[in-house]
Amino acid sequence: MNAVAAVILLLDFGTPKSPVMANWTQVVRTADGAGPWVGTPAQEAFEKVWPRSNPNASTGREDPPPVYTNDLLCDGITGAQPAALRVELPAGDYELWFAAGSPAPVRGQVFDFTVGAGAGSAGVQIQGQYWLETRRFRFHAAGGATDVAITPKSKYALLGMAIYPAAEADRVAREALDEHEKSIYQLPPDLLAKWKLLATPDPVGQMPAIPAADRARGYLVHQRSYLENIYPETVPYAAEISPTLQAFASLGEYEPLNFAVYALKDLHGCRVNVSDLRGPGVIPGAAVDVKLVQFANSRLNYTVTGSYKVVPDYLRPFDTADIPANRNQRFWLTVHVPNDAAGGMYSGEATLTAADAPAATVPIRLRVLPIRLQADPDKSYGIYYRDPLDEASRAQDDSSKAFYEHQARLQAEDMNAHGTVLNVPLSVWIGVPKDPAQPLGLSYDWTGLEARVARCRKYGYNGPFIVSLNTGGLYERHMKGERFGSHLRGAKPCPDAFVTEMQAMVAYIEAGRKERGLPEFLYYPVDEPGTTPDQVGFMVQCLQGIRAGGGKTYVTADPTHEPFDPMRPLVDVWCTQPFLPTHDVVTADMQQSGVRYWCYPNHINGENDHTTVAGARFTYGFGFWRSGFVTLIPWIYGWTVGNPFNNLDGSSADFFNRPGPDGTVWPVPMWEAYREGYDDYRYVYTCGQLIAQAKKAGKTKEAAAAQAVLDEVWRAIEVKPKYKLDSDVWGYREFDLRRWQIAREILHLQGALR
Amino acid sequence: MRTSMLVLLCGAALSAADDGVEPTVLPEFVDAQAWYTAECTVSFDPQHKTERGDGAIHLHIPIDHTTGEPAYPIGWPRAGLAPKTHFDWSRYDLFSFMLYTETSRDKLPATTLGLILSMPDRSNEYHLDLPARKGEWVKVTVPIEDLGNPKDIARVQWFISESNYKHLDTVDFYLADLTLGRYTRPTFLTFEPLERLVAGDAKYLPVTVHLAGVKEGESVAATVLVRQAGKIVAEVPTSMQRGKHRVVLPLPGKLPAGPAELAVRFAGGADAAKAPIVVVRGPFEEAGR
Repeated sequence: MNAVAAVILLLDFGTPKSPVMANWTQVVRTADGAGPWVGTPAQEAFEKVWPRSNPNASTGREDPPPVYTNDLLCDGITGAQPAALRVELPAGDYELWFAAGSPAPVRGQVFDFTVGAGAGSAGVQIQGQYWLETRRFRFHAAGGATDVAITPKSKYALLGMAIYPAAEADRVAREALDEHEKSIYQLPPDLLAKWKLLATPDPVGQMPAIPAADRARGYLVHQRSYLENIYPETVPYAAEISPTLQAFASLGEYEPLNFAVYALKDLHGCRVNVSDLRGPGVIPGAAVDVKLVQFANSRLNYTVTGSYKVVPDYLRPFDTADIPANRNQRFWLTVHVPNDAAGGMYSGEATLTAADAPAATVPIRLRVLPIRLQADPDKSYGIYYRDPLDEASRAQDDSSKAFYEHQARLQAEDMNAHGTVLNVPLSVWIGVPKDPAQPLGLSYDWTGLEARVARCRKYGYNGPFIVSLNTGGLYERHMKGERFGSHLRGAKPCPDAFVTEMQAMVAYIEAGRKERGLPEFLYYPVDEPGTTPDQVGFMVQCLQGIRAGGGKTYVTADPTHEPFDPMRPLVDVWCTQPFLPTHDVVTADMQQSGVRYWCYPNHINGENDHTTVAGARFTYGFGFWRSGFVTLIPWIYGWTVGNPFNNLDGSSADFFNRPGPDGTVWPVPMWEAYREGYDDYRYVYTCGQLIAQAKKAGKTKEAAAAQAVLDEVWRAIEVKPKYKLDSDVWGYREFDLRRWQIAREILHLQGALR
Repeated sequence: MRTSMLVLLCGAALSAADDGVEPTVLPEFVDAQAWYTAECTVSFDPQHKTERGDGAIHLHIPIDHTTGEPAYPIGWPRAGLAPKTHFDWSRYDLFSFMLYTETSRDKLPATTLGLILSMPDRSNEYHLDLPARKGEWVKVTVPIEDLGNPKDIARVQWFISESNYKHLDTVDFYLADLTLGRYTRPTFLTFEPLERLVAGDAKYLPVTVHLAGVKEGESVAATVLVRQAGKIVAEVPTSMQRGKHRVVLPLPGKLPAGPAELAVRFAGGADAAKAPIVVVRGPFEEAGR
């Protein structure tokens, strides 16, 4: 075994034939003990070079790669057993940097491992493919042979490693590591140079006078409504400097509070602690979740490349945070009011401490209302969802399986805590022979689907369930192997046999469903069909087949588009992006024909804008109420391509909730705003229920007064198909004032009914 | 993309935005030969005219879901201006025109006609869905300030999406009085409180203002105020430059519940713009009913 002797070690892991980064040393797995490995650890090498442009047959476009590879990042070494590298180092202080993850396709695998040397170590948890990370730590070498230990909990995947004197850290970073950091967390340097960073100008523009005490301390504390985005350079309002955080909430409600720090000098090691909130009772500080709002590079739209801006993106847990001078850092607090809290005013504080600046105390006032909010059983909040259980089912080791199952449970609980039930699209995928001369031979193992339905029921949803089918397989079978492509790009009407077999497939599934006592299915043959006559004609065939098989149909399309008219008699559930048709048309149609109107408001789910927080709350609350629709089911709970925290890599941006490396949910402000909208509608519904009770109890004056408030709020809604931009909806603080007006009526009605 | 606009129905009372506007009509605005087309025809029609009497650019669009571009038979018929030397409209405050619509349909679809102003940087593209009305003139006004880069306008395009219409429909749009306007005196294109409902204990009220008629680099003194029952209860002097800003008006933190009026005036003048607001008791004030 030969030890590597050098002061600066740059090690590139891979196969014997894979590319080696210039000026780095190739390290491969050897069977004969050659190389720096201690012994002959069980390992595999991998390589995947991604070209900059990748054809997408479904869309007909060229896509960027899911991860940008270079000679260092395209290859690596993986293993499930502990391993060690032995290197020769003079005595001294060192820094070790490593890049980890898999650029090659891999499903159901969590890479969870630690790299350690001396007393230093760093761990990394990476879920699946195309997600690369780097870590670094410092250690002291006694001099001589030094072992670098790789300790997997599941498996490791190492791409490269650098060991260098700590004193050389800046130079090594500049000369050898920064390009890889950029490739992983932004873009390869040559590509990044071509992208344009756009500014978000502040509408106020001019910094207010800074109080002397804040100047001396080195930072301002300020706040805005959480519905209003704070950007790195947002200028504080003078009246919001040194704020008191105030909110009201009902029993069991979650309520956001926030404040921001505008650093007047670099701040390091900032922490936020929240005290107990004291009033008629005690709401423990532990009931207040604290996260920071992470700024991130954001594309201008889902797949658009070439420009980006820095926006507040996701909320993440933290121990400490550093804040550069002349920038904001927002902290997001979520209070969970206990179900049995006593109503009244509670007070406490958030304390900000920094390693290099005096602390600041931010008072908190929370008014707890003695109200138990009711949910409308006729409204449902679902969401499209990439279920971690799919990864769990593919897991190659117990650790990965357990991780994904744990993650799935955390996400389902998170959905419920946000008012969303597990109304998520499912799939009954039945393979069909390509040759139409062969019989269909329908066969399906119901075990997995039954488990999924049971889980959905556990997390609050009893159907009807959206179920997608193998429409593509049937199409290929009858169209000589052709595919219809994304959004039916290339679809043509099929022979009658297609309809007959669609009917047979649905009839088979329906029989199985009924036999197992499963709730109603809504058959979802194709997502977002196009509007050409051929595309609509094919959709009509699909829907005819489903109906003939005894199934109900679910279509994601705007029913006000006239080219879809031929489909109209065949649709049981329209799921449309805007709130169209209007309230009166929707409610009348649902009453007369039994059709249901659902909405998938992707315009406030983040695929083209990470900042539509106010629009998200309005859509989920007062807008939903005003629309007459019965279900909201946006796409999607979380969407990531490549590194989930790098929005610039991959064919599309990452958006909405992100997977914390430990399986926890890292939410986005829009998701929190969904919950606030859900709560807004619960206030409306609760008030309506109490009005009805009050009328029955003869409390007509109180009922009329409350109804007048609800009517006034109804009239204050400027009806729009989409509530997206801040300019589409009420002013930020108006939301809570409207909610308060309704809450006050609830309190009056409760008092009158006692 | 930016999408704000001012829309005035012909015949509505003139707003402050219509006073003191110095109009400019570019030659291309009345010359159909200068327009490009795709899947439609453009001509100049002297018969369709408004009070100004110049006639109109006529877009005639026969909807056909079977022809057009091979990959997109249901496409986007469009017409507009794409001058070799890009337009520099930065000296102006408004781009406006009148729109009249005729169609073979009983009524127009929900989305009828769109306007795009393109600049070389796509992130500055300005897009507007136009509120066409069958058999009526509608005025459309686009604040130049809302264009990301008004110095470099590569294309001004009107278009429809054929998917919003039925096969064999016809639709005719008449664009008259295409004008670039410049205000000759300070004028508010926008004067809006960020919130129309205000808590009595609120300490401030942000106001969006969009000021035209002021030269680049110059500013005017103004006072933003709140009035209740005829009495000024809050005011802040400020200095405004041309363009869109946010003014943060401090409030006394104890306004009585009820209607109020937000206003702005220039030095020594009457109210230059107003907006109603309503003050309500918030959750942290003393309750009472």
